[in-house]
Amino acid sequence: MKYLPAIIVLTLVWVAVLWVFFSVEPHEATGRPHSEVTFATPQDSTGVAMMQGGDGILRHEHIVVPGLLLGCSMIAMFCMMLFWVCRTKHADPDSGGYFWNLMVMVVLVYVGAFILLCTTYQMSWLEPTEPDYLGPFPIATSLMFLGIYGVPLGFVMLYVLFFEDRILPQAALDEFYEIVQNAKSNAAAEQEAS
Amino acid sequence: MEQYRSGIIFGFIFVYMLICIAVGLWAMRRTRSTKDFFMAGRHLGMMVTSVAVFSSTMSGFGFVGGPGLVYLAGTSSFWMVINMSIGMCVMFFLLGKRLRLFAELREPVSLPDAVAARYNSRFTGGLTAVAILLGVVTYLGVQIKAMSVVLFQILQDIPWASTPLEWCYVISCTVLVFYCVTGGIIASVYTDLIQGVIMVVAAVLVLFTAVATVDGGLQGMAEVITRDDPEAMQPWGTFGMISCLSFYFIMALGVCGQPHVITKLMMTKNISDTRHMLPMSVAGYGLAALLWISIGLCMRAVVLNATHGTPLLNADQAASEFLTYYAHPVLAGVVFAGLFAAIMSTADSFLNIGSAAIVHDLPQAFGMRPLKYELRWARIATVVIAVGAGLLAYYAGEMVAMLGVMGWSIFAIAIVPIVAIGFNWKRANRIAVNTAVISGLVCYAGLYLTDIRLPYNFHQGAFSMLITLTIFFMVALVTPANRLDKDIDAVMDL
Repeated sequence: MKYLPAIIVLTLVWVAVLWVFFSVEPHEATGRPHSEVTFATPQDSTGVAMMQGGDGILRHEHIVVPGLLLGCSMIAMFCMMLFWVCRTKHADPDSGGYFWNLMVMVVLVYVGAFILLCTTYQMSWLEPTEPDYLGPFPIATSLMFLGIYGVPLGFVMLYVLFFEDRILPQAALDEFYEIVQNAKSNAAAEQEAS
Repeated sequence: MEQYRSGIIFGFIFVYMLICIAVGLWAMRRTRSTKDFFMAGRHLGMMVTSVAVFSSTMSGFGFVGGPGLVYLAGTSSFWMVINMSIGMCVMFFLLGKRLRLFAELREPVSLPDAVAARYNSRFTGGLTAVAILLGVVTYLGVQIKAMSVVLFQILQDIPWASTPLEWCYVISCTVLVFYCVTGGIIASVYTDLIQGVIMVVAAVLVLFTAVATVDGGLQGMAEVITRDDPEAMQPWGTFGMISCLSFYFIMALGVCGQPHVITKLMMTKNISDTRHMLPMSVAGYGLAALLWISIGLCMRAVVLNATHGTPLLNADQAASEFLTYYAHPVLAGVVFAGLFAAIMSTADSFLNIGSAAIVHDLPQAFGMRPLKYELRWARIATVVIAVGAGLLAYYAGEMVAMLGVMGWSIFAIAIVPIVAIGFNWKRANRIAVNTAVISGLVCYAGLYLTDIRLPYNFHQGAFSMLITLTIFFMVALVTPANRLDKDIDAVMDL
């Protein structure tokens, strides 16, 4: 039972990966050389210098759901690891509820941002050459920066703010120094005996 | 000023190299034991370690290959950058405290040393050392080659300084070896500090220059690229969703498997320093990555709207063309110094962990006694590794570049289960880690060397990593946990 969340998350990642592997892969699903030869392979070039994506619908239509599942399950895996190591022995019980609520909120926003990124990207298929902008980039790309890069900064903040309550409480540090002291005196005693 | 461009660039690099040598000489006075040479005596400050962590993570690839990838494939390669916020979180949450506690408890002089103590197994420590050595020689070879080629190209433009490529190898290796041999990891982290600052300054200045180069700034670039190919400016770029997500997976999880980065977590003076190191490292990396994004987008836009004379022959030319045509000579000098900084900050860390593997970890794995003059041998090993990697890079040509690309994944596959998970999970045992790591490495080498393409270009390293984690988890659950030493057991409870 203790390992059930890890087993579920790992299974979900595998389901998503295998789903992708057994989906139809359209021609040029991972890009093609630029249609202008002068950009793609200028004279004297040794390989493709510039690529194009082509039609977003054609190359993504078979992997919309497995792709979404893959992204969400990966995020779940990363977040699960963070949750796992925050269950420390001497953690302050008073701040526990507050801390876990904030952690869950960051996870929800993180997953939400990823889902929003995927849906706004799919909406851009309607008018691909005239996307709506959020800041300097198309909305989905801005969400990539704000959501996928930006939201985990919430974990950074929680790490700093709750360091003494959850990550390394003073009681844990005191116990650690005691362990070190005991280990050193045991080693010295062993050396003397030998 | 334009006519002195090459001279100015050379001047910046020359001054930068002199600083590295000076730091090496200064650090030599502080290096008296093996513990100082490999672990900086565990008295590094928070700021120095934070900068060393992010500057070792960003190698020369970020300064040359990164902008090239944006030019080639649009936003796809952004996924290799934006993973760092969650990647660094995973690294610090899992290892920030844990490795530092182990470092104080058992006083290891290297990562494999700590691994051997955790699993009570010389073999597992030896396996870690072999994986490190494998990655180090190839990865280091690529770094030395990149440094030599860039130096060669810069010197070519200066009539009185034109030097054959072979001499550029010699110069690059000599400077690198000098400060690593004299000052060990102390010189390495203090040069990392200087290198990190140069990288951040260079990246911020480049962002402003790139924004000023294209009408409309960043949005102008986005519009030009979108007009040509909307997909290139959407979040998945030209490589597509699955490919990008697989980059994200291997890069985010893989960062806590990079030995040259996580070893630094054991070197801080105070255990609680990790608290402030996480935000500083994330911020530093984020700023340095601006160069990757801005140069790539700018070059793709100026080539597409025909502002740039001719299209690039090769995507990797993006950074050098940008610096040649759009950057002020002084900025070009700072960025080239930043490029050397990025390469050298990664290379010096590799030299250090590589020499630890040779003189300390492998002899221990084979049950040999510690070497009598370990510090002296460590210095000799540093020279041998640098010369060996330099020769390999010179003679093996493309093969080294191909193997060097494997470096990140090799480290991730080998070290994430052993260290990142194993140091937090008592149930992780020797059978599980040894089986998982060997299977993962065999799977990755098989896929990579036979050039098997996975559907939707799913990254081979990411797939092998997933296999490693699954085998590790399953085997650990069905096999009995090893008996841990009392002190290790107690520390893992904290």
